[in-house]
Amino acid sequence: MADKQPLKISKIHVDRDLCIGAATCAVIALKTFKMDDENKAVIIDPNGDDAETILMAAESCPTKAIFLEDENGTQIYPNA
Amino acid sequence: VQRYDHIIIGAGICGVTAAETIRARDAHGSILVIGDETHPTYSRVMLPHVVRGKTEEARIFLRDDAALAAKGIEVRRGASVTHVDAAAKTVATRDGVTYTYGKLLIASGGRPKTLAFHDIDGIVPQRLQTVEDARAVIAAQRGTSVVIGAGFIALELIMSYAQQGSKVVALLRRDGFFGDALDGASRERLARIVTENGVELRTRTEAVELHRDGDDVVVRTSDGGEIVAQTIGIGIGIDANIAFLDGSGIATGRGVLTDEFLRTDVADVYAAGDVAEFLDPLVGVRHVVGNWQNALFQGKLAGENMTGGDIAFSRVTAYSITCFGVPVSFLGATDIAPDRRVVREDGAGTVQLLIKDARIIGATCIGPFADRAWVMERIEGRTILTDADLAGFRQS
Repeated sequence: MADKQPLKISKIHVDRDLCIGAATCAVIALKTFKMDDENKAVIIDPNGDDAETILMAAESCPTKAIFLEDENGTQIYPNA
Repeated sequence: VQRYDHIIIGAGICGVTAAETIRARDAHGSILVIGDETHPTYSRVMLPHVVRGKTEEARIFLRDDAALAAKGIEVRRGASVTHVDAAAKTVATRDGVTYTYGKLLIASGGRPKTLAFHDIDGIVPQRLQTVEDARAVIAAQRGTSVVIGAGFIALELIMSYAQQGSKVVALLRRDGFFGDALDGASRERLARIVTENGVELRTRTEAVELHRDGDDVVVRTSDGGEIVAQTIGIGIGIDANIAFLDGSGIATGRGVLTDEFLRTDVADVYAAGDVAEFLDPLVGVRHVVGNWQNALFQGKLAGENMTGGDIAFSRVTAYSITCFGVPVSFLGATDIAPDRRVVREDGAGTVQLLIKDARIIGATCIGPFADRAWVMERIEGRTILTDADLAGFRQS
C-alpha cells in the first residue's frame, strides 16, 4: 500500500434510482453520507471522511450506487 | 493435504469481506475461500434491479478473482464443502480434496426454503437468489403470476412480475406481509400500496398443490380454490446452509451458534453472515439476521477477530426496499417478540417501534422515515424510554 499514490476523490455522486437504503455507506463513512427520509443515501459533506474511507463506503454498497471521480474527472469506482 | 492459515467457507460478500480484512491485518498468512457458485462474487441485492432492467447483469459483480489473487487470497469456485472435522481441523470438498486450517470461518449463507408439500408435478417455482434465478424471472412466461411468500423477496418478485405486465396473485399464509414483524396499521398500509398497483392479495391462503395443465400451472389453494397461472414465484425465507456441519463437532441450531464475538463453541472456528445464529448484545438473545449489511459487517468483524481482534458484534441492522415507489424500512431486531408496539400513523406513512424491556429493539416504517436517525440512536444506545418519551414520539 505504501508505494501507492494517495487516493484523491474530487466528486461523489449517489444514484438515487439504484440506492435501496442498505445504509452501509452511512455506517462506514458517517461524516460523508446519511440516509434521508426516503431511505436514500445523501452526501452531507464530500470531505467528511478520508478518501480511503469513502472508497470503502462506495465498495460496501450492494447496488454500486456510489460513483467516485478523481480530480481529472476519471471514474475511480465502480471500475468500468 | 493442503494447509491454509485461514479457510473461509462461502464466497459471498461476507466471506470475501472477511478474507480482505484478514489480509489487511496479516500480510503473509495463507487464505483460501471456497464457494459453491461458479460466478465471481456478486451482489444478490442487485438481482431485482437486473430483473427490472435498472442495471445490467454485468454490473453486479463485486470482486474480480484476479484482484483477490493479487492480494494473496485464493478462491476456489464451484466447490461445495461436504464435511468439516473441527477436532482434526479439516475441511473436505465434494471432489475429494481435504484441506487443513489454522482458523476457519463458516460464511456459507443460506438457501431458499422450498414448498413443504410434494404434489408439485415437477414444477420448480421461480426464486430470486442467484444470477440464474434472475435470468429465469426475466424470461418468465407472462400472463398470471402467483407469488407465494410474505417477505422482501416475495415483494421483489411481485413487483417484477407486475412490471412485466402480468396479473399477480400473492398468496400470504398469514394476515399480510412480514408476519408478526408488522403491526396491523403498517400491515394494512403495505397491503394497500400493493393492491393499488393491481396485485391481488389472498391472505390466510396457502398453496397446497401445484400441477401442470398443458403449458399452464394450476395452483390449488388451502381455501379450496384453483388459480391457473403461467408462472409461480416463491419467497418464503431461507434456511442456513449447515447440513455439511453434521458430525463436525460444531454446535448448530437454526444456524451456526456463536457468541457475540462470532466464535463458535470450538476454538479457532467462527461463523458470520446469514449462516450465523449469533448472540446479539443489543437484544440479549441469539438470532439469525439475513441481510446485506449484516453479512458485510459480520464478515469484517470475523476477519478482525480471527487475526487477534477481540470485538463484540453490536450493530443496528437495517434493510429496506422501495415497494411500488414507497420506502419500506426495517431497523434493528424485527424478528423478536416485543413487549409492546408503539405505532404512529399519518398521511405519509406508518412507523412502528418494537419495545422490549423499555427499550426500542427494532422499528419498521412504511413510507418516508423522518425519525430514522432518532430511532437508530436509541436502539444503538439501548436507551430506556419512559411512557412520556413514547407518547412524545407518537405525537411528533
